[in-house]
Amino acid sequence: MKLNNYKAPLREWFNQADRKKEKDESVSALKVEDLYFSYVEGKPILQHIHFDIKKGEMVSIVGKNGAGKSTLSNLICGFYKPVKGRILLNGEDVAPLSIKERGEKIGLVMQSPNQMISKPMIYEEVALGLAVRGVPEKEMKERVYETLKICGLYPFRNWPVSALSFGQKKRVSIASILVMNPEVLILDEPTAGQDYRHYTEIMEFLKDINENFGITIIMITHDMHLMLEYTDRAIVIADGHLIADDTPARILTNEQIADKAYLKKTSLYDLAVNCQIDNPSEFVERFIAYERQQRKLRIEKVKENPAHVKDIIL
Amino acid sequence: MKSKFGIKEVVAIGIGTALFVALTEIQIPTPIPNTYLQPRMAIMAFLAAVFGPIVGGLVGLLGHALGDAMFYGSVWWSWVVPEGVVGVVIGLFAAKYAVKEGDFGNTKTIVLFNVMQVIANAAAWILVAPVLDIVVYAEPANKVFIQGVFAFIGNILIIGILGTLLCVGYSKIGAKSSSLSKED
Amino acid sequence: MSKILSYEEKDTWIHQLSGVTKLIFFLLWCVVSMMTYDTRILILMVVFSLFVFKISKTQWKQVGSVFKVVMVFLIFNVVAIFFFSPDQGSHIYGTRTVLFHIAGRYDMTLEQLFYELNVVIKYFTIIPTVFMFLVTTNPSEFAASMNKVGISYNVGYAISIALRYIPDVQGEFTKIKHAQEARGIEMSGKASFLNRIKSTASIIFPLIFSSMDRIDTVSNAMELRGFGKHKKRTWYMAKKLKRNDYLTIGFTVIFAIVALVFTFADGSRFYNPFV
Repeated sequence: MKLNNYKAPLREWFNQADRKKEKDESVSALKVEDLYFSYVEGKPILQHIHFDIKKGEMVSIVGKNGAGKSTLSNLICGFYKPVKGRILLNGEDVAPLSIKERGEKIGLVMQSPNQMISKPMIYEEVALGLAVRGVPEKEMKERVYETLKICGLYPFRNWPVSALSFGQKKRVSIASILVMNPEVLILDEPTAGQDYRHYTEIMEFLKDINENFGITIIMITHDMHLMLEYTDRAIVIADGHLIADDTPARILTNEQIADKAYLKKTSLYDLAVNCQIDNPSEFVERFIAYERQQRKLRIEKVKENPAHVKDIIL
Repeated sequence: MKSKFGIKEVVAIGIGTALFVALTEIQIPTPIPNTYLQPRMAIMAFLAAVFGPIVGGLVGLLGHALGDAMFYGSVWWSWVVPEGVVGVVIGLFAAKYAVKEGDFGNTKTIVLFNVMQVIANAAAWILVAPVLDIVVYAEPANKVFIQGVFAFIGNILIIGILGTLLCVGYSKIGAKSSSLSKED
Repeated sequence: MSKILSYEEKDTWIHQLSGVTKLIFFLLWCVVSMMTYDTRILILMVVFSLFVFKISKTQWKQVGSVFKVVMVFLIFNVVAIFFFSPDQGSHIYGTRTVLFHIAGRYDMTLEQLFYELNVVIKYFTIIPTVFMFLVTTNPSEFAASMNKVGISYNVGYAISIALRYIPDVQGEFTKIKHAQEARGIEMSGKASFLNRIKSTASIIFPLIFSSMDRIDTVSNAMELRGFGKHKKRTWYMAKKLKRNDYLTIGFTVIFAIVALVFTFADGSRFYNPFV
C-alpha cells in the first residue's frame, strides 16, 4: 500500500486527536488472588490468576476458546470452588457465600438467552429472582417495571417471551439479572451470533448502564472488536495463565501477547508503524476513541431521524 | 394429521434419546420410600405427545437401553421394553393433543393426555415389566409386581405434573402473537 | 474416573472389529444370558466375558465408578429378592435344605443361596460385555457400520445423533442448573417436594425448548444437504466386515445355539444340582 501521501496528514491528526482521560483510582469491586483450579489433580485449568477490577470499570476477559475464561466466571459465581486462591468482592472473601447469595451481588448473564429463560411471560421472567426471595408484590412490581424501562422493554411488559426477537430476549435475560441490583455484571459472549446493528445496540446499552449506574461490567469474549471498541481494559488468558492485563490497544499491538492468545494484531498498528508515527499503540487508542465518538453521533442522528440508519450500516 | 416419518422425526429420535440418557441421573426423591421421580420420563412423554408413537417408543427403548449401559454398566431388557410401550401408547394420540399447533392448553386435551399416560404406565409397569422379569429373569412374582407398582406411581406423578406442564408451556409458545400491541 | 462409560481409542483386535459385530455379539450374549439358568453355562460365560474384557485393555479407571454403581443395584436386588421370596429357590429346585433359621418364615436355604448366586452370576455375564462394547466402539463408526449391514440409515443416523449430543445435553443441563441456582432457585434437599419439582421444571423447560430448536435446526441442515432423498447413501466412517468380524459373529452364533441346546436338553432352563 502506498502511504507516502498520507504520512504527514496522519501524523498531524495524531498530534491533534484527543488524549484519553485518565480514570481516577477507585474502590476494588472484584479481586482475584492467585487463583488455581483443576478438575483432575495435575491438570490445571487455571493457574496464578491475579487481577483487581475497580468499581465502575468495564473490562473484557479475552482468550481463545478453551483458555479457561468460562471456568473463571464459574469460579467467581461459586459454581465450582477454587483449589487455591481467593476471590474478594468489595474487599471481602466470597468463599462463605452460597451460590444464591453470590448471585445477588454478582450477576451472570449466559451466552444464550434460551439457557436462562424459564418463564413464558416477560414480567414473570424478570421478576423471578425477586419472587424466589419473597420480595413483596408491590416492591417487586416497581423494581421490575423500572428495570424494564431501563432495558427498553417496558412497552412489552405484558408480552410472552416467545414474541420477542433474539436481541430482545437477550435484553430480557440481562433485565432478569439487573433487577436484583448486582454490583458486578458478568456477561458471557454478549454479542455471539448477532449482526452489527444489534451488537451495537446491546453494547451501547451496556455502556449506558455502566456509565449511568456505575455497575462494574465484565465481558468474557473472544471478539476483539468488542474488546477494542467498548472496554478500556482487557485481561488476557492463554492456556490457563493470565498473560496480560492492559489496555486493548497496547495488547493488540504487542506481538508476543497477541500471538499467544491467538489475537490478531490490528492493522491500525501496522498503519501507524508504516507512517512512522512515534507511538503506535497510542495512535490506535486515539483512533478508537475517535471512532466511538463518531458512532455515538451517528446513533444520535438515527434516533432523531430513522431514515439515517443507512449511515450507520457502513 | 398424516403420520409422517421424515428427517425431523429421525433427528427428534436422536436428540430425544440424548436428552433421555443425559437426564438418567436426575432423580427427585419423594416422601414415599424408595420411590424417585425421573424427569426423563416427562421428557419422553412430551416428545411422544409432539412427535407421535414411533418417536416416543424409540426414544424410550433406545434411551433406556443406552442410559442403563452408559451409567450402570448393565442393561435390564425387561425394563427397556416397557419404556418403549409407554412412549408408543402416549404417542398414539399425538394428533389429538395438537401440542405444536398450540391447542394443548384446554381441559380436554390435558385430560386425554393424562388418561393415556396412566394407561400407558399401567400397561408397562404393572403388566409388561413384571411379566418379563418373571419369564426372563425368574424373579419372584411378589417382588416384581411391587417394584412395578412403585415405578407406576412414580411415573404417573412425574408425567402428570412435569409432562403436562411441558406440553402446556410448549403449546403456549406457538400462541398467535397477532393480538399483541406495545403499551406505553 | 468417568461417571459414564465412553469410547477410548486403543489398538486391540477388539477395537478393530466393526461396531456391528460387537453389537451382534452383545445382543446374542444378552439373549443367552437371559434365557439360561444353567449355572455351568453361566460360569463359562462369565469367564469368557472377563477374558474379552482383558483383551480389550480396558483400564479400571475407565469403568471403576460405574462398576460401583451397578454393585449397589446388584446388592439391593439380591436382598430384595430374599426379602420378598426367601423360598423362591426351593420353588425352582424342588427341595428345601435349611441352613439356618432367621426369623418367622425366613430360613436361609441352600436352594435360595444357589438361586441368588445364579442371579449374581447373570449380572457378571453382562457387565463386562457392556463395558467392553461401550469402551471399544467408536460411536460414528458404529452408526455408519449399521447401515452397511442393511439396517435403515435412519436408525443409524438417529443413534449417531443421540451419541453425539449426549455430552452436549449434559453440559447444557449443568449450565442451566448453575444459572438458576444463582438466581435463587433451590436445588438442594432443603426444599420441599413440590418445590423440588418446580426447581427441576425451571431447568427442564429451557433445556427442552432449546432442544426443540435444535431439532429444527439440525433437520433443516440435513434436509438442505439432501438427506433422505435417496434410498442409499455412502458413509465416511463405515468399516467393512473383515475376517475377524465374520469369525466373531460365527463364533457367537454357534456358541448361542450350543449353549441353549445344552441348557434345554433336560427340558428345563435351570441346572438343578439338588435332584
